[in-house]
Amino acid sequence: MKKRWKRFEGYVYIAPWLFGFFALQLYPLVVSFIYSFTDFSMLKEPHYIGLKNYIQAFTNDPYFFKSLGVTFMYVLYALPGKLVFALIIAVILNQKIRGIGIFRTLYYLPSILGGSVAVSILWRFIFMKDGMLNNILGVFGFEAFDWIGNPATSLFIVALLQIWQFGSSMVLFLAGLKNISPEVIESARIDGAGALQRFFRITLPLLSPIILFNFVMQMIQLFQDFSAAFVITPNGGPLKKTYLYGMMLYQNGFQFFKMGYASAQSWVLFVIIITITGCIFAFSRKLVHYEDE
Amino acid sequence: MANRRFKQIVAFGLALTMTAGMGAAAAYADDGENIVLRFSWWGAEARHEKTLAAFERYHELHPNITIEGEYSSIDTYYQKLVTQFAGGTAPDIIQIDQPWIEDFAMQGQLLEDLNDYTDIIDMSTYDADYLAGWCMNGDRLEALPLGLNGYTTMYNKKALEAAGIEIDSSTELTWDDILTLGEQYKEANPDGIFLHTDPNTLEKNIFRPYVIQQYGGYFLNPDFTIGFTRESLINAYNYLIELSDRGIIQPLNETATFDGKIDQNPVWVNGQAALCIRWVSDLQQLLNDNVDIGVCRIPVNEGAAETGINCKPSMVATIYTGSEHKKEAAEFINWMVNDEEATTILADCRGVPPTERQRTQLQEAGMLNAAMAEGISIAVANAGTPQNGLSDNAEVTAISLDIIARVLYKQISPEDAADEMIQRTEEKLETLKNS
Repeated sequence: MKKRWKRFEGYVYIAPWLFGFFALQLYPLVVSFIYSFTDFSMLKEPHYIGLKNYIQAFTNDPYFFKSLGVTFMYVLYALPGKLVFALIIAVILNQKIRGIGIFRTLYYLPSILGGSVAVSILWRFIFMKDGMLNNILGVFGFEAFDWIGNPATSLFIVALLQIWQFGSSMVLFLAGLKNISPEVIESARIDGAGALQRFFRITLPLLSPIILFNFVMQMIQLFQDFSAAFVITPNGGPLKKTYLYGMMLYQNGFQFFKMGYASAQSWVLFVIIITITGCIFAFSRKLVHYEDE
Repeated sequence: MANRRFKQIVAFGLALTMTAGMGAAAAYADDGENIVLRFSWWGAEARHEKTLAAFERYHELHPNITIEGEYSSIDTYYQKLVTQFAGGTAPDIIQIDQPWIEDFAMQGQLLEDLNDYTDIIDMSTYDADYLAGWCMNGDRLEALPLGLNGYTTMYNKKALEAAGIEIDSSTELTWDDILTLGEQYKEANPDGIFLHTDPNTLEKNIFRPYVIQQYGGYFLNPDFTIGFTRESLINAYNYLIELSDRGIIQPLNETATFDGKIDQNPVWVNGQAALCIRWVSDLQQLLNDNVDIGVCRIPVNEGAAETGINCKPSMVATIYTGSEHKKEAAEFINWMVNDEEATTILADCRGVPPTERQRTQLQEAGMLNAAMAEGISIAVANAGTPQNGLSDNAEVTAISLDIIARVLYKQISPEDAADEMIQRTEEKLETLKNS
């Protein structure tokens, strides 16, 4: 009896997670794959239509490539910014200063607020034409500029919100930095390496596995991003300049009743993400330095 | 050992809570006597307060029935509802927009046929033609109107007075008047905006009437063909460019932030905007300390084929086919539209009420907003073709909005825009026809 329970016990502990995984992740994943070959409209019975959805996305959808382009630009804006920012702050917070715990908490705060709707609304009020930023700039004599409404800047403003939420990457960087033994740095210093040299030649290579991890995780998340762009620029922004892939999926699925088509598009995104991730891993072998190798 | 036992208990407890949580929803809906009805609607604060007050009163009258409100703003209401339909969790009583009857009809039977409830709901108070014209899906009566609606021009008396422009309820504006008065207004108030818009208003309440007035008829015909012509589109695009270039309307990029929240735009809030073409039912939402609203007919050019004024029920009440308490839901709807006390509580929170009895009662009590009543009578007197649900298709609207944006950003010429609009709308109609 006792033995049997023991075998069973672990599953009970992870039951909530298992439930979530099967019901909220695996099931939708499988079902969306099936739906991607149908004309499912959410409310009506789906019919099998073969590859029609996939063909339509690539050949007859004026927004598909546009949205894909916007999404790539978005990742290009936000990813390097976020990582560099997180790393710089992590290095600063790695110093031995009094009250450093408070600073660490403060810098992590934006990430706790997360991609929440409230923050996105706040963002809108900062950057809109009558917003806070323009009011401040106005004091210095600058003319009001419509940051969100201007096609040239809107995507960058949305990306900036992501960059601002650098906390989770920062914490990982900080943990990585703590793991680098002071002896290595110290001996480099004794050998005459300057601060910059120590950072680029010692710290960065030792940190590279974490950089890779953050890079991949953040990239995946950015490709799938939706809520901030949706709240700040509801219809995809001026001239669809912030029409992220996630917004296109949402619109097709929930506004236009084309759930089958949206499922197909989401599988296309899945393939894109997995291909890029694979490439990064292949490429990273030369760049990432694992200490135990 | 004790610690281990404790962990086991906690683990089981957690697992149990989860299952219990899932079962709870079902258990709580119905425990014999006590019935919980869910009612969903969208709207502004005044409507929320009055609707909730009506629920409370109904509960006092029928202690075994509790009505729970689910309310949100219009911009996400539709998507939420569709998701609820798909999951089978839609509310018992649903307030929907009239064109959605047709939308949902294409997706299967989601709404009850109210013809089955004539013994519960007294429909003799409604105008039979009105019900037949607006609430039918084939021979199924799927909805009951909760308010009357129509396009109207709402002007801010304070702003116009300050600029020395005279408009009253008998003024019959033309689209050219908008341009000349707009420039006059701009001279008196350089920071002001004459015609207040958001992208959706620009498309639905300005662009479409302008297009329709040129030929008269549907925007999209019921047989899945386009109603508009290439020429009518080109003229309308050119007019929008005029409005934008002369600064009569706010640039699209500035209004986009307030799409669907036209009353929250600082230009309107601060009383800097002069007029706005919208549904009469939006009137109360648009009132504030800096705004005193008067109404008149929407602009129509001389020699127009029709006014393009869309008159229809503002919101309609429906019963979800998946509801477990359809009878009780019908009883509540009956109370809502036919009971005197309910009329007093709800007043004009859903626009001008649809039945003669409600209107007389409110008017006698002085509870009907005068501008709103006037707006409805002007709209009805000048009504154009009642636009169908197909014309309101979400994807067609999105296509049209996208093209208008590119026209105003000078990315595409009006001629090319018209061609693209025709081509893409026809493609969409083709798929709708075959589905």
